[in-house]
Amino acid sequence: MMPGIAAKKRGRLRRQEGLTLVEVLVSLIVLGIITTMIIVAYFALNRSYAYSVASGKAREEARQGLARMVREIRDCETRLDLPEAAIVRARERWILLYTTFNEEGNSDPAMVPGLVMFRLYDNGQIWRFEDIDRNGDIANIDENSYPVSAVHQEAERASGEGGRSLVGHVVNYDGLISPTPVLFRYSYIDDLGQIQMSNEIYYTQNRVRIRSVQIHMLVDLNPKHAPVYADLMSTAQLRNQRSN
Amino acid sequence: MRRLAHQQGSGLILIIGVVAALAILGATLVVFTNNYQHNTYQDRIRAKTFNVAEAAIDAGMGALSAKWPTAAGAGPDVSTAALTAFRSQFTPEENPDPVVSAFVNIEYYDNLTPIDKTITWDKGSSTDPNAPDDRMWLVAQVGMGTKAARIQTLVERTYFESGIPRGVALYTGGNLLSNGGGNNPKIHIEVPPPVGTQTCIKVVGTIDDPTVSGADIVQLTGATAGTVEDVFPAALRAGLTALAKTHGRYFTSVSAAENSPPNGTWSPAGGFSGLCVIEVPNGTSCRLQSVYNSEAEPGILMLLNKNADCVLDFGSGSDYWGVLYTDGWVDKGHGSYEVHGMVVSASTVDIRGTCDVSYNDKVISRLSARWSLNVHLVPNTWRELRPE
Repeated sequence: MMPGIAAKKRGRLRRQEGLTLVEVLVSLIVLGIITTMIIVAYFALNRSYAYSVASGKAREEARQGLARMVREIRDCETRLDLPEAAIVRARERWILLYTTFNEEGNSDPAMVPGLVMFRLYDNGQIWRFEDIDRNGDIANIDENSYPVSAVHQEAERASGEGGRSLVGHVVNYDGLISPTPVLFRYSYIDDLGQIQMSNEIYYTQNRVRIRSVQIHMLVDLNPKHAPVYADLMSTAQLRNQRSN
Repeated sequence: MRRLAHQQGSGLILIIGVVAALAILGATLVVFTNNYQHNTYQDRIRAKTFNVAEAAIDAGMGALSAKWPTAAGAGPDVSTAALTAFRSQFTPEENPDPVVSAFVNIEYYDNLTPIDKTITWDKGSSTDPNAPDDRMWLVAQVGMGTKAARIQTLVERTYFESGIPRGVALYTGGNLLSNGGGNNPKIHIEVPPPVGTQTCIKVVGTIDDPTVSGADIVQLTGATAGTVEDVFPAALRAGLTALAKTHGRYFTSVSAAENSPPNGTWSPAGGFSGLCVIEVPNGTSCRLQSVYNSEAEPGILMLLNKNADCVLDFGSGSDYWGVLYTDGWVDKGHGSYEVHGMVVSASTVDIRGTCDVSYNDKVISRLSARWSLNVHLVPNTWRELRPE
């Protein structure tokens, strides 16, 4: 090698500047922290997004379901051809009533109201059943008692006349809350003319005294995770019991 | 500059990618949040629409209370112009106009079978198209934004229940003076009460001439006559007074009452006709000297004074159809006058001269359905309909 070239090469190597090991390590650590923050933020946002969507849908479904129940219950009316009250069964987990709500042509006073039932099952779903064929009975539904076993409940949901799920993740009876919020409560006029509240009212002569129904739904907006409750409550005044 | 030009790496691209993903997620979240806010808004609008529809039903009931449609065209005005006042009660910011149709629409029609919406007066009933039954269908629809609610109900008008006992031609808390120079009997039965009810006169004091009433009228005197509370109780007087005040038929001077204008069923001809309550100062006299009311539309005239110091005076030959009540006494006529119905005086009744009291049971019974107070919902007829 020529002395001139070797000298040039040595000079260039001396002039090269780079990162020290410490600088590289610091850079890596900073980059690691930033990357971790970004990833954590990303997943947090993703979770938040997923929760917002799911809880929003659940809240919306619960609200719509509650509104539907209120509208049907306040519209219930007595079938004048039967010795029965407008509310045929008044229990804390289910209610059975006569109504023409949302029926085509119900402006005709001669239209006979049909049976509609709302029932809350152990799986947290409120279902709506309807006497579609107007034969005076909701087929495959036990109007008088609550099916104890999960199999029977499933059978009702599968084959109950006009059945459809209205609200899900209702946790009133999950045992997580004490005291248990009752789904349906009934206010009625007692023998002394006073307003009283009861979770269940038996016999026609007592059910004709029902004036309003309170609906209280506790809905889990974050199912399968730490519960986040939406507490919805409304009261349906039976318009057909009013005279003013 | 030279060193920068040689820099290499993908950190910036990575960061831009991550930031873009975060931005998209954030934006989507904002969109969802807005969507739920919109849903909440729609829920509120739906609830408000229903509430306003119920308010419209109440408004319709109020209008029918004030003017029950007894004949074609005789009902209350619920045209668009009339509903503007109703609309003005609800701010457009909180209660927006509907996308289609009107904000509010109220209609009423008779409860005939089948329903004929062109019959907007109480023409008949569901069983007889020509027998009015005081019932009408009332329908209200309200629209807000994209929501609408429609409610239908049957309404029925109620009447002031007088509770006046049948068969009492005259009650006086004092004496009954009647020596009218051969004009007896002056108390007759024009229309008898229902079978089983005896027509009578009740005089707490004495009757100066027993021939004052016809042979078919029983005379009860002294303790057997009872008290004014049995015939025209304080509760009835208070109720009539309150009713008169509500409908502009309460007066504090005789001249104001006599010159009062007609007021629908409350006073078909003005003056002392219909329901008329006059509370007067001591020593006031009120003279009846025209024909007031009719058998079909009887009235009640009350002359009140806390000290019983007032006089109901029968003037020249005319008739009063209905019930006359006074805290004071009834003076002898200044001419022939006939009362078709019933006379009640807390004090003396002097019918010397040529005035007559003819008990008319049609008058008394019709007073029970004479004045409608308001309309109310008929239970079990309320329905929420699909909006049209």
